[in-house]
Amino acid sequence: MRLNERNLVSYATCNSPVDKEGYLMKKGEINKGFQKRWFVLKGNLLFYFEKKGDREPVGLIILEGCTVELSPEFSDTFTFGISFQGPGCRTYVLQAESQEEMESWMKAITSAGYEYMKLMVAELNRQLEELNRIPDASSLEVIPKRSSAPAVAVGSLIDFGGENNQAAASNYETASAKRFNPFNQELSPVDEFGARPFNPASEFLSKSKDRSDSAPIAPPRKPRAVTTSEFHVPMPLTSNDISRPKTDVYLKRPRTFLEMHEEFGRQIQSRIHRSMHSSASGS
Amino acid sequence: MRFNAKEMAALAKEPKDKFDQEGVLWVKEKQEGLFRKGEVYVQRWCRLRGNVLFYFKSKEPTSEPYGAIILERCTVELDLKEEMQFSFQIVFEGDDRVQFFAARTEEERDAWIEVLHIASYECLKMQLESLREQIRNKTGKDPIDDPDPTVLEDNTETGRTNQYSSFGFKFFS
Repeated sequence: MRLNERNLVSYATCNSPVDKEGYLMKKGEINKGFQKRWFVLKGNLLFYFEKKGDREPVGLIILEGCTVELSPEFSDTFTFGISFQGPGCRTYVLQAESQEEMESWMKAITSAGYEYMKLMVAELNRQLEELNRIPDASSLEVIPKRSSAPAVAVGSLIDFGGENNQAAASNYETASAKRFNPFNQELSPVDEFGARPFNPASEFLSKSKDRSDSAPIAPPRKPRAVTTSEFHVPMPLTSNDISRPKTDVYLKRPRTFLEMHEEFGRQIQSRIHRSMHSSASGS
Repeated sequence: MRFNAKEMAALAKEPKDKFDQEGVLWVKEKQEGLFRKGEVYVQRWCRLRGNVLFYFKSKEPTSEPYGAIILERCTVELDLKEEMQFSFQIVFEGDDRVQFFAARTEEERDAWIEVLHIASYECLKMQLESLREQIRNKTGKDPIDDPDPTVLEDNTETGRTNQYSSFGFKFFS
């Protein structure tokens, strides 16, 4: 398939903002060994060079329609894959040097898609419209909480509460080189798209979540009171709200990214904590 | 430069709802063949998806994907020379070769120009930054880094969880 290669080569090295760059080991397609490559992520384009400072990339991975997951084959290293759906489609296998690096790349690549960016823009547009519509409204409102655990397509809402974060942080430094799944993959149910790995776009686009699909170990969340904000509009819950068309993704989205992000952080720290304990007891 | 061609070809064939625009366009190309020189306009089935303009082997939607043009650092302009009616051009930064296209009607040309004009990821990201700035000015808070706490509530059927963590954004400057 043809590509406007020349333009892309210029684009790779021009002064447009770089979202992330760094060295990663990349598994060859024919030559099965790993080779060190300098990766540069710009938007949904992941270029790779033989080394930093080279003028021409060796290759490009266009990050559309892909998912990011841990590599089951290389579970004792910080290896992850970028997979594409479809017959004969390949998975790019990449290896980082640390848990942190691996996570950082996985997150960057996961949120690199064009669709994802479109959703962000649509969301901020919506927020801005709302702000413009209602100049100032302030009130305190507590929205009734659900008693069942919310469904999630990624991770699970394991509330470990009471973690000693400082201890966990220092354990992280001395922890053995065992990688953790930043998306807590093995606990996540398969979503409507039949995909297990974390895909923020599919999160957004999923229609009404079946609440009974929530991860079995998730306990009910503690209710949180809504605080005052001058921009919060007290809108009574009407049947109109509930029966909004399924295409209104904002109502159906199960969690905010901030929550998911914070969840990962807690889960990862608690897993470090647990793995330290289990290794101490000779497992 | 290698790229994920097979995977892109699979994407090119996805259903209509995945695309922002599609239709037949005349595309000016180098003539294939040993003894022919110069360029000709060829009709191709084209589909735009985000910042990727796919073009197919023929004007038939059932033909195979032939190529892709990734639209970053380019401008879309009217073609004043108009060798072909309803033509327009895409000019890439740092490339003196211009990519010419022609639509079948004025409406189609205008529709394509409009959509290609804002197709780049960079443009989309600038929109995001602009919206972010506007919201910041109105609320005093960054909607991405520092979302409004009133919306950080538990899931309810109508609960609007519409904030984003810095998750994907700490990498954006």
